[in-house]
This record gives sequence, structure tokens and C-alpha cells, in this order.
Amino acid sequence: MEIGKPLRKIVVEPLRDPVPARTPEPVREPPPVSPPVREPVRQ
Amino acid sequence: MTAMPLAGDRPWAIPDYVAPVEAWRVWRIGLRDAEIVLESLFAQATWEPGVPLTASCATGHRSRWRPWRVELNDHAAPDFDCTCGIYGVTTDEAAREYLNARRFGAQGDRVIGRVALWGDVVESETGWRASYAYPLELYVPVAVADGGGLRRRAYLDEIAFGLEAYRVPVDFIAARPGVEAVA
Repeated sequence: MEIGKPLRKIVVEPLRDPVPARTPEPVREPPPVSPPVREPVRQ
Repeated sequence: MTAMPLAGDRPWAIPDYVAPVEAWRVWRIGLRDAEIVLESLFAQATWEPGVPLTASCATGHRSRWRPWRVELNDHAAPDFDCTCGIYGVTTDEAAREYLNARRFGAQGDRVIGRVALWGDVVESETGWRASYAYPLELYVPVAVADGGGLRRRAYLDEIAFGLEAYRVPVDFIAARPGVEAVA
């Protein structure tokens, strides 16, 4: 690319990382487990 | 979290700026393992998603004692007196000149965007050369009257979707009339 004549050299040290952080994937909770249906005991 | 490849290299260097330089540039669209990646126009460099690109000097010089041989430079990029480094220009108009596939570099689809430059940076009249870079925003040029139809639009949608791996905003931009945005 054409950028013309160099003028000066500088040091650029970003305080924050310029690379976007990876967003954590949402944690899927397991579906609620319904208690087992107990058959009525015949007496 | 990406490691900051700066302070550890030169703990004595006092920074002039603590925010990256924001510039414009054009990338070529490449395919690697069926994934869309950004490639530099003039250098054999692939911009990995999530990883800053690190500059190195690929130019050479005549050996002082064996002038028939060209030896690779061993300085850190960018060097003030060399042409090495990762390039960016000051305006989007200047970057748009490089969307024309026939005038500059290899053929292929191209995207334009803003780029963060940091590390050692050589400031020039209309742009910069830097030692580290990562995209900030990406724009897929769409020629309004390119006649590509739905199939072409679906192809550009696929490019935009693939570029989301860089985790930066991706959008479409109208290509300037008369400029061949996509080959």
C-alpha cells in the first residue's frame, strides 16, 4: 500500500487487548427431572 | 485472552500512545480448511481469527562481501528505513483504491475495514506500518448493479458469516460505481 514517506517511529502499547475476547458459550442446564411416579400400593 | 506481545519484549520502551492506531486497509478473502480467512494483499500472510498478526521483514539486501547474493534482513519489523510492517492508510477513500482487483495484487474477492495497529509503528504521510495488527470492523463490498442476482448475494452473505469468526462487527458496504469490488 502507498503510505508516503516515513515521518517518525512511535511505540504504541494498548492498555487493553485489541483482540476481542471470546465470549463464553452459555451453560445449558439439564432439564429438570421429574420424580418417578410411584404406583399406589395395593393393600 | 491473547497474550500482549509488547512489554515483555522491550521493558525499557516507554509508550507514546496507550490506544492502538486505527487505520483502514483491504484484505483478500481466502479459504483454508473450508473456513473463510483474511489474507494480506501484497504479502503471503493469513490473519488468524482471534490472533494478532505479527509483522516480519521478508525483504532482503545485497551482501556486502558477496554482492551477488541477496540475504534476508534480520531487523525487527517495521524498520524505519525499510518497507516492512503491517500497513494501514488514514482514510477509507485511500483504502478503497485497493478494492479494484485488476490494479493491485492478486485476484480474488476483497473486503475493506478498519484495523488496529500497535507495537512499533512507523507513522508516514498517509498511513502507518506496524508490528502488530488485528481487524476492528469489516465491510463486504456489494456492487449495486453487478448483476449477480440472488446467487451472488448468497455468496456475499456466506463471506460475511464466515468473517464473524474474527469477533468484530461485519457489515455490507456499497461499492463505488465503476470499482470492481469483487472479481
